[in-house]
Amino acid sequence: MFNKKFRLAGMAVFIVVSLVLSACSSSDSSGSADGSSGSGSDEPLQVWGMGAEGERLADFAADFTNETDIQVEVQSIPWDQAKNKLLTAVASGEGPDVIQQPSTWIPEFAESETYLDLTDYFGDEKYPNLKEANFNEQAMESVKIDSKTQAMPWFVAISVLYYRTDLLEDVGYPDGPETQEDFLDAARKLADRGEGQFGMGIAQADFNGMFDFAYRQGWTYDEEKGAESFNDPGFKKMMELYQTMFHEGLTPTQDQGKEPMLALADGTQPMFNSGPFMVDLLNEQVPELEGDWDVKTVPEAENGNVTFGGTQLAVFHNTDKEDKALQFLNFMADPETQVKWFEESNSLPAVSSAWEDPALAENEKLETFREQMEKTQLPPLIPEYERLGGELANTMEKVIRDTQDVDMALEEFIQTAEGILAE
Amino acid sequence: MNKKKLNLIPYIFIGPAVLLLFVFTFMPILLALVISFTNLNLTGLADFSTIDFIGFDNFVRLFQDDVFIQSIGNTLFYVIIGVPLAVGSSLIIALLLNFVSNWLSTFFRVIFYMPSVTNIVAIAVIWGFLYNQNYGLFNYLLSVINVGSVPWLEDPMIAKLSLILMAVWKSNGISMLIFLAALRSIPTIYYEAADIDGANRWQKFTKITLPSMSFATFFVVVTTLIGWFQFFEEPFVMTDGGPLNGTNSIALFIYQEGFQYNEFGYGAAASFVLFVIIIIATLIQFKFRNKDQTL
Amino acid sequence: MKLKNNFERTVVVLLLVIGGLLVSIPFIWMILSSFKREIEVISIPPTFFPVEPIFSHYIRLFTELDFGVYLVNTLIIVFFSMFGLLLNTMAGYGFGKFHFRGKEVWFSIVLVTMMIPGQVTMIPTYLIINGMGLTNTMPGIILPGLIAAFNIFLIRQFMVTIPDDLIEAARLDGAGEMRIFFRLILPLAKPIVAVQAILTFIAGWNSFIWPLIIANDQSLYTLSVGLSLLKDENATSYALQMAGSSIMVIPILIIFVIFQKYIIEGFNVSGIK
Repeated sequence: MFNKKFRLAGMAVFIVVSLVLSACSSSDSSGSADGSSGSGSDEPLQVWGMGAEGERLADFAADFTNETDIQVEVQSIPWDQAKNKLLTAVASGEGPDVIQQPSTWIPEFAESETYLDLTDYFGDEKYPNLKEANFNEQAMESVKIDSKTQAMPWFVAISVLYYRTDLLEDVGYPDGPETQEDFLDAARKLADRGEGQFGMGIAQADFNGMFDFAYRQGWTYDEEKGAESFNDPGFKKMMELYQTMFHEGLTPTQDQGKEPMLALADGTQPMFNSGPFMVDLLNEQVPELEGDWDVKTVPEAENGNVTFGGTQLAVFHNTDKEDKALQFLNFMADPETQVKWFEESNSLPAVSSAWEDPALAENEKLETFREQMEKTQLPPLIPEYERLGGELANTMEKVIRDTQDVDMALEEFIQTAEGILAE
Repeated sequence: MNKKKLNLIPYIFIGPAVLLLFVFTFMPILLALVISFTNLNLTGLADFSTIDFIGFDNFVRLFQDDVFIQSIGNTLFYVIIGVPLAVGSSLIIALLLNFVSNWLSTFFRVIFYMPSVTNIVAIAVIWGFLYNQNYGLFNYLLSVINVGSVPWLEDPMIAKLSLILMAVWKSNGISMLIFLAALRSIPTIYYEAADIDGANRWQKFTKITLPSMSFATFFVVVTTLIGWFQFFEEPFVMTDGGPLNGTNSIALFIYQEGFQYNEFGYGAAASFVLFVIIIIATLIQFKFRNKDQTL
Repeated sequence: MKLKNNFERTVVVLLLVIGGLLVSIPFIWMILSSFKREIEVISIPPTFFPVEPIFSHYIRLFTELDFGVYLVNTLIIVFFSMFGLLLNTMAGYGFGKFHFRGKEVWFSIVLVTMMIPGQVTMIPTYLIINGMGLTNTMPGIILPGLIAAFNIFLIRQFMVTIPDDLIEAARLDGAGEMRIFFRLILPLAKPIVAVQAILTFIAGWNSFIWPLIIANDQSLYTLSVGLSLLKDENATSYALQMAGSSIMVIPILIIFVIFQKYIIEGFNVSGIK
């Protein structure tokens, strides 16, 4: 009785408030649309970048303005609050024109129609660089959700194996381990060096790393099968592999280890997986280590695949500057811009022809990344990915800490996954 | 004649602050309350018409969620152990500071306030080192006296205690200042009179000092309690709720559901469960408060 | 209470020194680490003094950040937060020293606002500010943080201890209510207003979330927001953060040293009780 009244009152408050709010906000946005009448407006193009990338993007925007005379305002947003900021934009319907988006966010925000559908603009003569064929195939695939092109691939993130050449030589792998067996063998020998010495560093709670290892066991996520996909033997093999690595002390748990860069430098964890940015970081932060470390494609199990990740540029759904926004995308997709972005940030270009530029073609360390680019796997492009990942991390913690055996943990995880995917 | 005029005056004093607080903090809370009865998620946020009222479903689900139940238990543990330690230690520091000469007191006031203004990252790095199981200082010191290594952050129970220690260390600054202001406001004639009566130090402390600062103690206890019920930062930066959810708090749970997974309705529901717990704890205190703490 | 002899004095000072060391080491470490290389900051065991002091983090801060703009915005917010301090103090006095209808209800509302974690109300608050057309404006950034229930409650607790007779006497002397508040109450409440001034300054100086959420233009960012922009997605930049925090903390310490002396001046009125 009381509850019913309460709910009615609550509903009334909510409806009134949201009506008032949406009335205000919609009149606001339509007002500005009327005033500016599409692309004829003089208002600058609003671009949201994130963290240090955002700051860097401002320089590129200046070049764009020089070329096209279109004014751009780049607002960079700190990483740890970027999602909050985007949520408020989604809630109010008032966002920027162009947004930088990590690829893992796209399925989630695509579901709530945050992005302008770019399908028809790819191939439009007006934007010569926006051709599907120009981009890396998997990058292009990663932005297609619900058969719409949600964003433009900007740069690619993949990881390779970083290792200490001297220490791996000591255990018989001067060129790094080729296969998973070699990898485990090397890790065991390295961990045997004594107390506080390990074979490798793995971020214990990082679910991306778990999926990464699962791909190499031949596992793939099948959207048709949903949670049943996790019943595939490859997934279980990944879980057993993690169990082995942690139980045998080949890798430290979270609060026993050190930062990977530091652990590589002092030799306590002579192997770890990381992206291209780590090359510069190691050169800058531990120059004295030069020559004692190298990169290599990841050790192969069933295959040698790593997660294909990256960052994209999307257009906010209710922008009134579509043309300007697309010109900006077109500019960022120019092979020349892509090469320049690589030089500035060490991010791998999503535009294939940029890889042929001497700046990339003649870069030795990049050879490994070029090779690894051939062996990649897209993560599941579903809105529930982060949620599933979080649950997987919880499940794996139980396995790593031995409070559950692999079979039970897997069974429970599949059940949880079914629940999440059913929602 | 005067009476009518007087009646308006309190509203002039409280009006501006209460109005602003009502619009920018209380109304959002009401909205969040409504949200807690809905299935609001990212899609709903983009298009309000897709929001459904689902009654008490969120609340029912919460109490079937093992992680949430566990986080309630952890939070109560934090509050029961942490609040007395936090209030006690800041009171002791304030008393010690009150004993020494002015320039020394000034110096140490700045020192004891420092944890409140130290960057959380610096705090996390330092405590992370202290607690590191293999390379940490605490376990090194223990090994010197031949005690085996302690899994400071690796065992659910010990990890909770470790986080409490860290939070108490960090939280003293403001309470200490408030206690100090209260201590300084106790007129010295009270103590002089007690000296004439031959009271000993403990009697003076319990009969004069504590009663005279009860208004401050009440404030510190209520706000500390509210703060500890919303325990968030320490598990967030140190353990992310682990090991095995052993350090997860209600506030961290709300952050994970509402922010990381965009389950706004569910997260809001959890926050109102927390709210009810806090209200009960606060009402209990108001019930047992000193007589002069009338509302 | 006074100490009896030198022995007791020594014990107290010793306790303070030990406690002081325990609480201040991370702070000192933060300052020293701002002169270290990144790898040295994360090294285990940590070094205390920098192996080779470097200044590059500070140079980066001042060259890469729009320091001037962010500083001005921060100061504007601090200025208005001091106005908020006045409103908080008035409200605390109103709740502490007057009897009026609805007092319990309004005070309960004030207390309730402390009991819900901020992240839950962030989006609703944003929608309200947006509905008022205040996004991307200074008022929109300032208003949500202007009033703090914590401060109202604190002031109220201290106001309760001021004897009513004192206020009545002033009223009989013909003093207006505002005059009583500014001339009698505020000076009496100096210690607790000083505590509040410190807290309010710190909150304003460090304001982060609303400038970020409400601003659609970097020219409205504050220093805290600006500093966090230097964080990369992948790279750790602890030393840089330490440098930023070290700079941010200087004004706080100055304000603290200035205002803390009012705290010890005492709240002498209780003697009249």
